Amino acid sequence: MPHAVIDITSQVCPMTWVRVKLKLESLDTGDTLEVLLKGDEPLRNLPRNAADDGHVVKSLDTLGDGTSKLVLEVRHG
Amino acid sequence: MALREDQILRYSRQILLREVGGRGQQKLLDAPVTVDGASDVLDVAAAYLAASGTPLFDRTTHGGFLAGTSLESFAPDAVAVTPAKGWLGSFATAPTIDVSLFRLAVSNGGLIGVPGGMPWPGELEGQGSSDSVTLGALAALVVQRFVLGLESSLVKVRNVDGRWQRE
Repeated sequence: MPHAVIDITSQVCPMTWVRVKLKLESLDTGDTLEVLLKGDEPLRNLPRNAADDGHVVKSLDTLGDGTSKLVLEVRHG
Repeated sequence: MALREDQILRYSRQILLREVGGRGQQKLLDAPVTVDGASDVLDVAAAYLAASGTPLFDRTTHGGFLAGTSLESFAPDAVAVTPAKGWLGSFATAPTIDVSLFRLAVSNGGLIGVPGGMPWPGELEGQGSSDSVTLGALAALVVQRFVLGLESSLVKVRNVDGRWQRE
């Protein structure tokens, strides 16, 4: 079970990453965050943005109906 | 203190920056800056600081937020962004940053201080900015980096034949 879940399927870039970034900041290193996203743009950008900020992409699964589930492990500093 | 929804929307492009993020934006919102004096450079610096969410205090008005026309035109609700209301009643102990350094620097042959490692103002000049805009933007940038706890060491630069260069 993830430590937190965030649904950004109603968000558009760049607010998708803003929402996820703020959520990641609220968690501790080692915690996992499950991100529900929709559309090609966040699917391309979010894993890269998270990795660029030092977080670990644990999994990325397509759920159908255009949504995907991204699981990140938090890394600070 | 968590950012409010309206603050997240307003400052989203700053929050996106790796050096800022949500915590950094909160620091910018919580750190009142004193603007002491009046000049074009300070007007520009104040406008940039206000637009980033930093509460401004004008020492010369003895008691109010800076509310000059240039500030209002850049950030009409800047004076309403005051999450750290407590500091109003204890100004003497509030953190203040004196940006008059930049006014003095301008009058002393164009020497100003910028954080080491910063991209240099050639990029700003490329936007057709006047010196006041360039220096004001840099003054705001230095203050913001200070508030964010980033590198605060300064390097000197000099205007040579219309081009700003590191000394």
